[in-house]
Amino acid sequence: MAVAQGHVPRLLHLVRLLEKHGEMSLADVASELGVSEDELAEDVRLLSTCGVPPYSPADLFEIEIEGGRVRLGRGL
Amino acid sequence: MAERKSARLIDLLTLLLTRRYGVELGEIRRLRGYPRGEDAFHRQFERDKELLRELGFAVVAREDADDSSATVYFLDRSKALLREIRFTPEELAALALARRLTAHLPLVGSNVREGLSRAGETALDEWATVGVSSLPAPAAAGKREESKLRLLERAVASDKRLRVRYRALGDSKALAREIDPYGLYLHGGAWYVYGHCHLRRAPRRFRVNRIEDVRFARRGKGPDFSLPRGFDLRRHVDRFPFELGPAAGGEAVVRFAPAQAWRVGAGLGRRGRVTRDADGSVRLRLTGVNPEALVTWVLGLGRGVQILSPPGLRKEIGKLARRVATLHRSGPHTGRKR
Repeated sequence: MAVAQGHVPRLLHLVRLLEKHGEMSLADVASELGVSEDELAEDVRLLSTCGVPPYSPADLFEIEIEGGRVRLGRGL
Repeated sequence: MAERKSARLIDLLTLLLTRRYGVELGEIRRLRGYPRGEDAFHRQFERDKELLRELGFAVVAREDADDSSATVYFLDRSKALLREIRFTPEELAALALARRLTAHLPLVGSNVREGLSRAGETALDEWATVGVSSLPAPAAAGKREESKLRLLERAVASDKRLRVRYRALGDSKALAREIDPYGLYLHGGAWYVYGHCHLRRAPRRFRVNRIEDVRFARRGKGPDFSLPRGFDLRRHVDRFPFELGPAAGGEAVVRFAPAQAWRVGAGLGRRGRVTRDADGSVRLRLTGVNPEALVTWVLGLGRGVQILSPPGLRKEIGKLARRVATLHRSGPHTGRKR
């Protein structure tokens, strides 16, 4: 439970950061969240599978890493 | 396992955030990660609601407007906030001080400044009630000034009575007095303490650099006084001398000649009723002012500012002006009778 409690605020923080800045460098986001770039990449992968039923591509978070930058799209 | 739990909570939160009019239980059951069995689903959903509540998202249930037999769940947006942070008076004072200091420190990151400014916006009222103004401050003049300010801030934050030696303007000697400091603020580049003066038995403001000595008046950890009900430091900051001290009834009218009319800007203009004459001069009608302070203030403004009424004050200011003129004619004042 504690893991989820610490993890969920981090995921929410990640979404809010990207909502505010659009896209950011992997290094900057990792530093802001206090995690390694690998952990951040895991978070991004997890978020990209989150959304609402029926979980079609349009129902999922549009979040991706490309060229060392994290980007949040306008999905959902 | 933990990852699945995080994903399920994010999904649930997303669903609740995207459905303004509530979500039926059936929709929640379709979320990934919930068990299929009826009882197991309910137990899991209850645990998830509790987890979201701990994160600051209140999930509430209500009857469906279209179907009274159904229940919908939604996020109570009025409660969808992280738990409110309650600062102690000492913490508020420290935050206020940090905000003032960082405004002048280029080495402090913009995130820190932004955070402190945001805290200032939300907690400014509270800061004012604990008696610390959030205006940017200049650096303290020296170590002595710094330790004096620190002591004053501690006294303001913990409602501690102070024993000071204060040299008022025009006095050659400092007078010992006790004050209950209600607030500390910066005005015109100088620090002031506002509080109740036990010597004068009235509220007074004290310029910090005229406080020659300061210490706590009493020992003990508890507060020595209580702030007056509804006290708001902002009402006492940036006040004109005629707004301080004992006030007289009735109205006083001050005329500003066209060349002096600029003085009646937003600050002064808010103190009274302003009317403009055809020649460009401005009349400021004030009520409830300290007459003695008004006379001194008007006299200090020089040519082009005069008191029109009441007649008693006109007479008083005339008398005072003549005295000043006489003193200037007779050369430097030595304090001895010739």
